[in-house]
Amino acid sequence: MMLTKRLLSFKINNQKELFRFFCSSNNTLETIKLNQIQWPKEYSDSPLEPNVTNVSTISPALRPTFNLAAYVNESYSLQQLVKLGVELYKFDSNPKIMETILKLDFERDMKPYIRFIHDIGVPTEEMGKFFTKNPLLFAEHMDDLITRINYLEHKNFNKEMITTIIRKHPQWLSHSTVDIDTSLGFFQNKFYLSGDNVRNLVTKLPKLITWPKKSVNLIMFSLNEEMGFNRSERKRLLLIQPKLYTMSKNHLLQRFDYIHNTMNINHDRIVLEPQVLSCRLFRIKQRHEYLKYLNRVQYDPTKPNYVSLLKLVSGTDSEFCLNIAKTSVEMFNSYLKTIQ
Amino acid sequence: MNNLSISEKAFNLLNGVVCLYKPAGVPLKGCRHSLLLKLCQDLNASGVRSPEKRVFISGDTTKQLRIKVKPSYADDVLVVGPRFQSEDFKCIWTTHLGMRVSGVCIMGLNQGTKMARNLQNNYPIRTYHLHGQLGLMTKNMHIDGQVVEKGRFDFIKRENFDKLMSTIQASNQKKMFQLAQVDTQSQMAYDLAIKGLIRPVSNKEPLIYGIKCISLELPHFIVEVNIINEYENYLLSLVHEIGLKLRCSAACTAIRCIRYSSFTIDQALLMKHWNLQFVLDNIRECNSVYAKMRKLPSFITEESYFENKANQMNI
Repeated sequence: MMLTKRLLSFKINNQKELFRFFCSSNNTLETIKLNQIQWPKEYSDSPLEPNVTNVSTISPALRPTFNLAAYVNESYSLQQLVKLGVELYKFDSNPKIMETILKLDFERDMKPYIRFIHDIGVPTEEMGKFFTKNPLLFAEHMDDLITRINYLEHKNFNKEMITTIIRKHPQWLSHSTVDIDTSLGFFQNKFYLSGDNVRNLVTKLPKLITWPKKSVNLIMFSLNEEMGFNRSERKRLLLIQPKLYTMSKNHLLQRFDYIHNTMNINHDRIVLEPQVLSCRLFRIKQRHEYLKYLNRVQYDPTKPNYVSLLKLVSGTDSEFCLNIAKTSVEMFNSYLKTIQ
Repeated sequence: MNNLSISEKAFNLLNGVVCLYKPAGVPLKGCRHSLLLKLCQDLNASGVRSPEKRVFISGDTTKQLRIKVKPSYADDVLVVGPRFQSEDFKCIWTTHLGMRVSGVCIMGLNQGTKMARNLQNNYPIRTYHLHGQLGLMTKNMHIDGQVVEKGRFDFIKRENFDKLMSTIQASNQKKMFQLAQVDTQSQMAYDLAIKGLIRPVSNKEPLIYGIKCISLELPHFIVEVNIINEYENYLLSLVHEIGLKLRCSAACTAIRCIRYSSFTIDQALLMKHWNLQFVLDNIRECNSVYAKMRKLPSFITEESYFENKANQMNI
């Protein structure tokens, strides 16, 4: 039901081009041999005579399609990918990936790559997730991949680090060594990082290295000019919570504005516990206002009943109510309905 | 007949109206998106049907053929996508709530969309809490706008406020009869009034049925208003107007809908509770409320609604 629905619901207007894919079927126009079938003599006279020709090699040609589901029953390679756990439906929106995937033969083109990824240390259970994220890895040249791993080894990343990087960020292997090298240089120069710092940063959030430099620069500007963090504070934020540099600028600024101006927390405390900046605004707002309502707001560590910022934002609502607010969850829920 | 998977049974139960607590700052479209997304995730996680069987025939056609029945790859979850997707749901909201409005929001799911439409045709009364701040005027009448004017507010007393509220209510009661197109002194007006609330003929003109100040702690105040056919900007300008009438200025800090017809804020689901289990419970509760409302003689069903329209056309 789902399949037909999907096939019907495809908006032809959006994808006007019909992609006629190359298929590795043995009856494409080039390979059809007319003399393969020898029809029995006087076939029309004797319809009840037993069939003596083998027609199992003949099958209808594959029709053009919008999704891979139409081919998966015919194609051994696609079946193997399904067995690995690759989510093929995610490629349907991208004709480029579909084209690449369909041209591949499992034994010839895919196996070396899967073996290579396994050798790096990605466990078999994660293989499906890995190739769902980065199916175009099959299109890369094997030597390039080896060079990219060698580059990391050359930069003194040990085996576990490389495994973590590849597992966390499957797209990493699709970026050239030149790009990666420039990017690592960018972070090292901008934040005055030591070699170990860089390695820790990359292992912690490999996505940041391949993140567009434009948005990283924007966040840096915002942290410096709009929020007023100095150079060493920005460096500490990067090392403890690198996620901040991949966030949307507006969100970050809104959160900072609320924490700094409404909750009256100074820069030093934010830098000590930067996790508070990566928590969603409505969560901070709800919990802070509830504590305010209960008269339990105390963010000064030298005074009794101190609430640490990290504890404020971490944990589920029930944990928060039990440990910090010391009320029942029902009360918290009914309080939430009285605020915005 | 018990060969349905758990998720399909649950999906069949998702018919009716659901009462949500909409947070401020999120558009209604976003609310619907996150509700359906969560429902789909939960349905997909709670055991979906296995792929359909497919008959594979292979071998030489001149000899005995091999026939195998295997699960079809084309129906695998990994190939065709998750079994339940947000497009499978029909979901509409009854009254449009603006971005800054928070509070009770009624949505119709699947077959409940009809119920939601019926509710809307009944001119339901909404109750709002308008939070305002005196002595401040902003460009967009809300607290997040650019401040245009600041002024004194210490001369305002509770009496001034109550007086103004009763003036607004009285003028709106007059308007009520005007909109129903009858003379206040006539028998027809009396007949209308004994039937219950006089509802406007059109659904364009906002009409206040009751307004009172429930808290005044200068400079903050809260006004409770029972209203019909309202929209976000009307409520904002109402607060603004109150400020001007008090010879001062006011900006709105929050708009909260606390009641929609007979759905109250107690039933409303908080955003963190928008998942399958809570929504199913909520639908059962809300459907029984709807059934009770339907039994009332004044309830306008779809048929009577169209009859009324036709009658009006004839007149």
